[in-house]
Amino acid sequence: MSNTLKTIIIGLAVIVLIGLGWKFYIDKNYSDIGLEESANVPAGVENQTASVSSGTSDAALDKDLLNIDAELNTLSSDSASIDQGLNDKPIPPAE
Amino acid sequence: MTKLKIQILSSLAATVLFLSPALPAFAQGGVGSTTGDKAIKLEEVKAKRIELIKARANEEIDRRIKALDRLSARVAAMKRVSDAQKNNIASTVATEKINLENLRAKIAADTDLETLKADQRSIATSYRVFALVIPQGEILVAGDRIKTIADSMTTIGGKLESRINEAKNSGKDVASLETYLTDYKAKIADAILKADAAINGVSALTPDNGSTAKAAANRAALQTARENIRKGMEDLRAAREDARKIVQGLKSIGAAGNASASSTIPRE
Repeated sequence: MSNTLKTIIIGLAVIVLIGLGWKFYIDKNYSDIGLEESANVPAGVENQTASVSSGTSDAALDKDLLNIDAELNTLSSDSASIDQGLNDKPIPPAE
Repeated sequence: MTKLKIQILSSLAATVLFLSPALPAFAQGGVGSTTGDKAIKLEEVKAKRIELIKARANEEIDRRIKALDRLSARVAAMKRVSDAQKNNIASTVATEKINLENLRAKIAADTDLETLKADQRSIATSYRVFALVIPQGEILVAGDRIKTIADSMTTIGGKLESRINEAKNSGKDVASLETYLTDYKAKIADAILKADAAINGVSALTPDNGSTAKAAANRAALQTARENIRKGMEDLRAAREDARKIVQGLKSIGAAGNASASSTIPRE
């Protein structure tokens, strides 16, 4: 095998590796963006439906109370949003 | 000697190259500057100021639009306020967004500094997004959630009552549990009243459009509603504590429930 042929093969291999690396990088970044976008969904938007389990057993009641705790936590978050709105100060105007 | 000369000349050349970007500016503002040059400089300063104000204004508008978008999603998820109340706040949010985008376009086209400054001030003084719309919407969202939770707790209250009655019929002493249950029901009823008061207190609020008296009245109404939300939350937390004591009491007296299913049923 001549030296020229070896150089060409090595060059092609390097190009393929760079291409694969680039594809991996792009795929990873796009999936990260997807995750960030899902994370930006406002808290509590999907939680406006409360749920109650069926039955009156201890386990069912315990589960109901856990659901209520979760709802109350979301309510606390709603309450904090009210304060954030009422206490917000705009950026001072440029003079 | 020749080597030393070369070193000195190289150093001088490097210094001249390093300072060369600053030389024209120095020449412009130096002793030889004319009135025309000064006018050009003033125009440049003014242009930079306009650019800065526009950037700040855009930042403020973006912040408000993001807050309105967040609120819009939360308003869409509300279930227990009336359709009229829900549509009213949704419409207000949509209108505010359009107004802010129109203002953004106006600001982008502004060339007069004073007009631009007035437009920038109007973002906060005329549009009232943070002063009225956001807290108004958030109060409606919180009031709606209180009522939704109260619905669930009323259903759970029925189950607790059923368990207490079963225990009573089998000869257990449930007097303290009945007291907790009475308080539980009262707290839930009060939470609903507080949520309704908060919702009704802010539903009809409209922007003050520069009226100081109306701004103060709006602010007072928002504060009162906010207090009602806080009390409603306290009621629900107290009721939750009553429920915990009842469940604990039922377990301690050995009153096992008959039903054992625990699949989740979404409530509408």
